[in-house]
Amino acid sequence: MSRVRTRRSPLRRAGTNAGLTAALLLALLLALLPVVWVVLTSFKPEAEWISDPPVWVPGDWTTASYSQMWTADGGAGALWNSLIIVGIATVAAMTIGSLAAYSFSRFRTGGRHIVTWILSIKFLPPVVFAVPLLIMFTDFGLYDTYRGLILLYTAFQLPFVVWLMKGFFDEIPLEIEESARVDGCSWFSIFTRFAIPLSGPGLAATTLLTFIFGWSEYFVPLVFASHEHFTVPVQLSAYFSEAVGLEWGPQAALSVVGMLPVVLLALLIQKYLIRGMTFGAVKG
Amino acid sequence: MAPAVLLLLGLTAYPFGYAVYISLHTWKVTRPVRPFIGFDNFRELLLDDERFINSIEQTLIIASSALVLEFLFGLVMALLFWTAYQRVRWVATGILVPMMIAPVVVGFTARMAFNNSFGFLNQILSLLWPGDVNIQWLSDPTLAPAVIVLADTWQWGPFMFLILLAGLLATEGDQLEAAVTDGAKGFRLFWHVVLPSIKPILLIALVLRGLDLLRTFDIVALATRGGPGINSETITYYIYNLSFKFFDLGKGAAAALLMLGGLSIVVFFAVRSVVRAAP
Repeated sequence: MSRVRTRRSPLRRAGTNAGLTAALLLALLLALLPVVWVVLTSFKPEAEWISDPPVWVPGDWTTASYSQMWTADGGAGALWNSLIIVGIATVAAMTIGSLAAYSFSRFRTGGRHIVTWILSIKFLPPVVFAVPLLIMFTDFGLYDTYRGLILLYTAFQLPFVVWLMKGFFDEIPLEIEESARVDGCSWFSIFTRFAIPLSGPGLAATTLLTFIFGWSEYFVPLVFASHEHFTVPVQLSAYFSEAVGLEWGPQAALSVVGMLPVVLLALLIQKYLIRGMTFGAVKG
Repeated sequence: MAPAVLLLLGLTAYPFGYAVYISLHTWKVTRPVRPFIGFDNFRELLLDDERFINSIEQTLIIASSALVLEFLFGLVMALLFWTAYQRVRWVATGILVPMMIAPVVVGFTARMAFNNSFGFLNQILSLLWPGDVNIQWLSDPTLAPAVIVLADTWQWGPFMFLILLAGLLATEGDQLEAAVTDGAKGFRLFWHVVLPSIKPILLIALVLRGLDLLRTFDIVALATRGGPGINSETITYYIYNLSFKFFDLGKGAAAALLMLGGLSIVVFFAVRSVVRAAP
């Protein structure tokens, strides 16, 4: 049988090359235009925030919004809070979650039901548990503290870490670990010396994704933190307050400083995005 | 494993029990007396609270419209991209930027973009349409939910696109060629050969997006705040208002439990299908 393959796609007729290019450029424009708008708005003087008709390019480029956001409006504090809370919670969730994932992967601990239960938690809206948790946290003195917020972030990130890491551990061939086992290694040292290094890229991608999701989290800090412990997303929504009015400039500035670095980070792990966002169900 | 399970149990099982307890009482932050009232909160919500029913309707309308739009966008793009993927990989990188932006920022951007006087959407529409387009997106009762739908589609359409593209790229060329040799083409080829081969991945994509959409909160909170009136108020946003704006914790807990009940059924089947579809 001949091995010649026609690489012509049967659906080729759906779009000629010109049509394809046009469609792609249009999609790219749609995706990026609002982002460009936010970036430009962050450099506009106050008069141009809400001018009618809208102005795209600032007539008078200024960084006033950035300095206002940074000093007067608590933007610097929010960035610091986000960094502390999300950073520590990511490390905690990765540590606890990887250990759990490894045990699920190698020993099928607790059977399929526990793993499914853990995944289900990810789909429950946090608003359901908000009030009881809030009362509980107030009783324990955890409301509006770093400790309390880190605990919550860690817990909400766990299902994601467990599922994704289980998938990565499942892919490591058993032979290596079995021979290490024969040589007398304990399971824990197999975990640290083989499983972790062998799942390196997966581990890095999971860590980054966990960090990114935590960074975007809005509801938890909205309910469990007061002004002093606001993270970036809550600080962003706080510009809507009746007292201050609508401050588009500083809001856009905080979006740029707080969000764009994360977007760039995400592009580094583009390869793992789909896998991460489908909890490992689609290997992409 | 133990620490993970303990932590999750502590932060789900205990609050769940507590929520049941709260929901059976008249429990208002402003009142020190909290009498037991049985299932009255539930009865009131289901039979006597138009706002709760409205929030369910709005949630279903928003979630289903966004799901359909995102799916269609993703499918069309994936089919277009499929054959040319290697050449234009960089476009994909640009398209997935919205997916990585915090939903809060998406909501805030939508609030600016859809504003009828200084928003850029009407401006762009004015260029494409004859005359001066002046659509009151945010203050029109039917258009406000559409703003949330469009904002969510902007953010998550790329997700559908990437998932479906992954599915298409994994389909077997041989199978397609055989079908083409047998004379299948166009829509029939798509319906009988392409679609079945990406079905498992398609299912996962729809389930994940659907579940996320049913608890839409962030975009609502920033883009429309449920308004005008309650015309774009989703269930999660109403529950939030009940508990943290009206301080009616009893009713809030009851509404949360009703939502949990409804969602659990969906989640049960959804998670099962995802677990099964996973290779």
